[in-house]
Amino acid sequence: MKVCKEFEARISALIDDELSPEERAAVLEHIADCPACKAYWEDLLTIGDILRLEDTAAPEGFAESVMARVKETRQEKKVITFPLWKRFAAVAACCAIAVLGVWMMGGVPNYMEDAAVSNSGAPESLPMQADAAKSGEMPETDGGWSYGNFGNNEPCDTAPGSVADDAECDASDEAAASVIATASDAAAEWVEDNLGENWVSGASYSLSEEQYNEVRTMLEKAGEPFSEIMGNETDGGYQLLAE
Amino acid sequence: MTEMELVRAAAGGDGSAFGELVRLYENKAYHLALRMCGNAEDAADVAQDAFLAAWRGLPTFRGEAGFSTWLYRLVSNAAIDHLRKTKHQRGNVSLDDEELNLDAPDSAPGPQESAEGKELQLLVQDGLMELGDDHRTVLVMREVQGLSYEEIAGKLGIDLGTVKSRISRARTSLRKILLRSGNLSGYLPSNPMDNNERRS
Repeated sequence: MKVCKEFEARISALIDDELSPEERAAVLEHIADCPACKAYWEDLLTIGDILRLEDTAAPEGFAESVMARVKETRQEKKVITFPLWKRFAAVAACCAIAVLGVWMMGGVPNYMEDAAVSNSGAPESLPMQADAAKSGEMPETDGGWSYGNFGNNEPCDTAPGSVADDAECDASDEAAASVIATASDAAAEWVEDNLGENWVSGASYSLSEEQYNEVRTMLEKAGEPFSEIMGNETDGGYQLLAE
Repeated sequence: MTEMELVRAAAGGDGSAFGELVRLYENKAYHLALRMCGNAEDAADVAQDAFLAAWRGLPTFRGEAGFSTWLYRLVSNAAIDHLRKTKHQRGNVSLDDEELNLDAPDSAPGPQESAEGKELQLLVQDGLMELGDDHRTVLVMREVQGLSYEEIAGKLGIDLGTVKSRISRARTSLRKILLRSGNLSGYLPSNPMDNNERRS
């Protein structure tokens, strides 16, 4: 038995609840009287259930390979931590504490320079973790990642007088000052060519000041639509948001 | 940690928290990607891209829709982007809006195949691939991702009428394809070879 041609599309819309109340009533009335259409309706419901049936798990090692790529990203780029105003306040607090700390200690100790040049970003007071981060291996805790060891994004919670922590409060870190948001294909191409990343709607990409200006100029020249949020430029940090 | 706490921590750069989120959602994300792309390899790439986009985008995620909805959107977007990019390499078989293209012999399942468990999923995958990108994506966005016709129209840049008719044709075609295998009586009650009693 075949579904009635004139009801076929409406039965589909019924399942999606995309019919007006009158149409809905009409279709339901017909289904009650027509076994072929009723069977078709049930088949479509079953197909939906089958499509939603999640019995295929992600492949072995999927989560690990995601985290490996995430780690790569982290080593190249910095990510916004928290809202600009908090960042500003944290930086101000760090500076105040640094000044106080230096004053209290009567000068700048040598190890502050060591902390500043350390490229792992981990404070000198945690040498084991800093070395582990540099060699690419993380201490085993849960799943191999320990909280707070992952990169340079710790909020500047400094203990008073702790000079090593101040090294993390580098004002050139993170904090997106300006954001360009666009759905432009030209931007997508630029990201793929210059950052080697895939363009995915909803993602945001960290740029240097130079890259940011390059993208903006490129979009303006090409006449591509975009919106821009200007931030406090002295903080550094530029983002390109894919729409 | 609750999910919200995990999301907040991950947004602040906590890799361990993000790892937890990946483990929580990897199956769901992979499943949607698989339905959209139709094959395992592309699905894994797409799901991975989506998680990376989530990692990058988390700091600007404001949480209105909820993390899983947002992640699903990233997966769907990544799949659509991937399909567009690889369209020509794959020689995409696109289902004509009028007729069902059943002429691809390699993808047609044999009548002897049972439709239980894993075999059913492979059948469904093959069936979805036979639909072609345009019909498969709208059907999956509706049935698996749960978008409305309007949302689908907006996302794909097509009009509402097209969404409605494509979904209807996708369903009709997929039903025909699944019925070919002959062994879906447990799932599709109106299979002509079985359940004669249901017919009056």
